[in-house]
Amino acid sequence: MEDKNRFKTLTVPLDVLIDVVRIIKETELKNEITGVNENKSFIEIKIEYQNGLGFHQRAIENIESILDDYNHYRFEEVETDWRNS
Amino acid sequence: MIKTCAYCKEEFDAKRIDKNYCSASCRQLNHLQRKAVELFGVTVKEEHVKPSIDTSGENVKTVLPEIRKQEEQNPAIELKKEKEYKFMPSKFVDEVGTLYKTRSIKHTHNLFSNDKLINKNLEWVNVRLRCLIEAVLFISERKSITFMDLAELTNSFIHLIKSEHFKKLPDNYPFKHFTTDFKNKLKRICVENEGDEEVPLKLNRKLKIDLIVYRCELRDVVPKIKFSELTFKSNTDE
Repeated sequence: MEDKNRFKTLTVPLDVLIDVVRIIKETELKNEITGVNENKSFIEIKIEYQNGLGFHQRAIENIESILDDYNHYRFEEVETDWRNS
Repeated sequence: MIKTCAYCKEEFDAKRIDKNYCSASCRQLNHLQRKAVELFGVTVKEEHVKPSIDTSGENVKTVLPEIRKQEEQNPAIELKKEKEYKFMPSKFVDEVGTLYKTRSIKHTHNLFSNDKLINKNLEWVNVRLRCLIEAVLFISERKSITFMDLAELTNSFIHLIKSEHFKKLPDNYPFKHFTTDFKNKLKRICVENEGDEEVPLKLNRKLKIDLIVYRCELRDVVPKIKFSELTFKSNTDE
């Protein structure tokens, strides 16, 4: 039988962490924190979702939409150091 | 800016120039449609189904037939479907977007001038201020900064404010007070942490939102130039 569960790893900046966690909690998405980067103020969350389940897909696209908008306002490119980025 | 959604073909007010879909649902459905064609060879008519339900600004579209079939076969999914998904916006991103929109109506025309001389000063300051704001945002997201780096950043603000270009800016320049206030804040942090090797530079939520918005406003008028490639004293300064 085909495994319907899919995984997605998201990099979530501290500024929007509470918003993303709220979505994960309210939609009961299985999740695991796979990384914490204290020096860059973000965490990495691995989310497990059911492929083809509209409710889960909308939650994922909700999170991705928040991250897209945040990155649009906050960054222009990947920043490596404050003098040369 | 009014654009036409690439999926449902309806007009929507695009917050950003690069937005192609009116909602996250449309973006996802477009992706699913491509996937359906790829996996099942399903062809979907060009004319897409119009939104059936509207929940707090987020249109919920009718799902593709293949996906619906899968969902109907699974009682657990049916149960979940009873819970109507309500789009949950980010308060932080919304505040940034609202402030950016409000301020751009009020201030954008004050960031450049038809007068060549005034515009030269505006551009000179805008490029440097953008660079400093990008640096402050970058550093504030790090655990700490070396005291030497903080001193260098503070001195750059001081030189910028003392420059002839800054002094000649029009009174309605939108970042005049911010630049002076922020320079004072940095000076205070330097004095308080003198002798320490590492210093944390943390911004409160409001200041962070303000800086992200200022960065966006300056991004709209000047390019990003690296700190290492700029001087903050004008040629006429001592």
